[in-house]
Amino acid sequence: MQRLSLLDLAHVAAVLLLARAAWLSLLAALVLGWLLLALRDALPARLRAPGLVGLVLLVGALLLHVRSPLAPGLGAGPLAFLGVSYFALRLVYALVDPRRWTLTGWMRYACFAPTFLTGPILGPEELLDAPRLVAAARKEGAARMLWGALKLGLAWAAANVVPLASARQLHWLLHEPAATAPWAWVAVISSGAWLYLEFSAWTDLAIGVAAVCGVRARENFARPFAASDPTAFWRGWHVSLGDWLRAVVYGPLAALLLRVGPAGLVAVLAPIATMVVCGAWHRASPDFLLWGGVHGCALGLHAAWTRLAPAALDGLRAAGPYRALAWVATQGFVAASWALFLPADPVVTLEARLALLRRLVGMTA
Amino acid sequence: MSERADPRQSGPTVEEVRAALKDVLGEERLAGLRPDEPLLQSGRIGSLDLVRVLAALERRFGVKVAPAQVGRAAEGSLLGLTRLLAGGPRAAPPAAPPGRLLASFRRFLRRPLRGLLLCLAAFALLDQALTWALLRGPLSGRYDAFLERGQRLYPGLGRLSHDDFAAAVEHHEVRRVAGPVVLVLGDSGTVGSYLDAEEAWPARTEQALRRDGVALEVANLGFYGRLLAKDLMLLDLAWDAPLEWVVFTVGDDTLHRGLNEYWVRNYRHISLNWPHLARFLERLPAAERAQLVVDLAALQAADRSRLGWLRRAWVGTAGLPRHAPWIEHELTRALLPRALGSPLRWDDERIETLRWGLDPVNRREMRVGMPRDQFDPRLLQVLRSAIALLAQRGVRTVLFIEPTGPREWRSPLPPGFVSGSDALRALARETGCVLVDQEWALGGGEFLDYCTHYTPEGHRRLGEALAAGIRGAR
Repeated sequence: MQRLSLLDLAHVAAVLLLARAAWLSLLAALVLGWLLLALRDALPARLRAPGLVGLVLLVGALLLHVRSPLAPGLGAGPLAFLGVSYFALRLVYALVDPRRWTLTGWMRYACFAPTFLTGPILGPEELLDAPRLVAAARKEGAARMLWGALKLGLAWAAANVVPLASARQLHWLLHEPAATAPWAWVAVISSGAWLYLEFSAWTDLAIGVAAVCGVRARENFARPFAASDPTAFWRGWHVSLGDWLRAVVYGPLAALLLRVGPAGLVAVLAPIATMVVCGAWHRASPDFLLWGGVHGCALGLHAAWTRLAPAALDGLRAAGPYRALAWVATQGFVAASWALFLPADPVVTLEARLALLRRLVGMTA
Repeated sequence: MSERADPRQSGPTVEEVRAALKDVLGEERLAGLRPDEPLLQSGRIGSLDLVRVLAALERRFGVKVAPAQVGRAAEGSLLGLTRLLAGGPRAAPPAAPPGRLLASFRRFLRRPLRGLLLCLAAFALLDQALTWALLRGPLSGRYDAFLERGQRLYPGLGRLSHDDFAAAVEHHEVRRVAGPVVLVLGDSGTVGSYLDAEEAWPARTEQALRRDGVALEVANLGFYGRLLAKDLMLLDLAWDAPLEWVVFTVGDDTLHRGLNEYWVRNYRHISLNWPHLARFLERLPAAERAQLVVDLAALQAADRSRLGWLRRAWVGTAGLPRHAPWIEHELTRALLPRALGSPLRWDDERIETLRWGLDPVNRREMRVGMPRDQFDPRLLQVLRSAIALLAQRGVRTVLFIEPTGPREWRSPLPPGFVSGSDALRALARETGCVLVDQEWALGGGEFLDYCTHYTPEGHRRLGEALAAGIRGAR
């Protein structure tokens, strides 16, 4: 059996440090992951497929339990580390990967430090099979780190003036009569831009550090603010999560539904279900489920439109004014949906988020 | 999962895979498709098409490919699919083409050390240019005035004037009052958060007193952030006003955060004006003052450093951090004059953590709890001295005691937490000042659902209770 190298041990030490007080919980989650992988491999061939589905659902249920605001002792307990979403996502990737896992491989995959906290969510083959980067690429990684650090500094400085960066700021906005609809729009648009700035800064840092460690991590963002339809937005926003959802949720679900229903219906229903899972992954609370649901509906509507719109409209869809209108509608929808997402603080109630949505359409009462 | 139902020595060719795709997608959608072009990421096919393509490939070649294998860009091309169908090795994901800005930045920073030095040089240059512009440029007048008034950035609404010291003073116009005054010191609850100033309990007190024929003007000097040091500096500011009563709004928070450097550093919307605070402390007996000298130095240090670690690193080495508060102040006022607040930060070292998260969205988690330490008895002494100083001037004092706080009030206090209310009640009895307990007036409710502030009815009840206390003592 291949042994863990000193570098691997350094990664393990780094993630235990990153886990801070929850280091014990991380160890428990690593052991649980290893046991689940061993269980998967021990299943007889005829039970392999349903067993795998069961294991993935089990991890999902544990994740939802830990991340639910209703869970007793939220964030505490031996399974708390499953609440650190990226760990659970890696575990699911490992479960659906066909390889036979060794303990070394699992530890190396689960404890790769650069992308541990903030993603991007890497598949096992990117970490374990891909050739290591050459020195020049590692140097570029260092520059990318610096770029990420600069962006992160900017994002942290901006957090003080971003209207939806904290629950308190949202409450100010909601209870200030002078903050009318235009202000509410300024709030959601600037907050979305700030979220992008901060998250992409973390991604830059992670990709840079990963490159320094010799691993090419995939990109997480691809010009999401240029998107002029919801599908294009999700191809550019948190791409690695989109890949994960497509691979683990959408793909199997759509394949199953295609056996029983028409493709048109599947094209609408599958993204809705997938995005509800996406919302639940962020937090199993009504506001996040609703956020996922509305994005799913938007994706479903877009899928229906692209399937059903007559070919005669192709000319219209290529026209500049139509594209401009589509861009405004898409970005407006995405910005408004941040009202259900930001600030990502459990003390913010669904009512407060709906009040902000009402403010966006000019209802101040 | 890649499983060969019918193993072949060599897998399908790219053209065979293309033909299989054509059956599902049609000729038109594959026109001009390069073998290495990612089907999904290029927008050529959708997620559902991908599922249908995989089903078609399985039917045609007898090889099952899981979506997890092709969802990623490297495998989701004709070449990638061909490799997977042949059971060949997977490719590493290609590097994404960098954005134009990032690409030029990368070129610029080809060598990290050189990049770091260039960044530092750019910062230094910017710093010098900024300093020059602020001290000698067209904005120098405003900047001087800013420094002169001791204004800081505390993002706020503007309308309720809680954003900085000078604005609070101007709003309440304490210097212009002519008649006998009830001076109210307090915090966001006193200001009347989320309500009009006329609905806040100080205004309600004045209305109740006037209704009962007592001609007293109530000057509301409350502003955001509970800190005894803030009360003292405001008291100094109003020292020469025709005071008849001073109302200290006090509670557990006063005794925990009163002169605590941690709160000065982390409670960003508390603004201190050092000359006023120092002048008030000058009025205290020498022994007490001596006891506070160290704290004062710590407070000043905390005040200087509270604007974040990045700026803290620059304090003393560059001009930028000194100007940053003003720049923030001006930018905030120019860009978002109304719809702003401040991040809520609780003591994150000595509290019970109710929830934590490590992903970027939840990184900014809110930690809720109270310091477990007992309160600082020196703060009681300072309060006692302030009451004595006021008594020497013939000014009577009310201790208006807050409940521990709605969060804690609605649920049992955390273990180890010591309530300061009892000590404050004892102080009121000892000094002979009027004691009005908010908990009695509020009857266990009247807080807004979403924060620790009073409802309009709560303000009305507090105003009535305070007016009754003052009336009874007169």
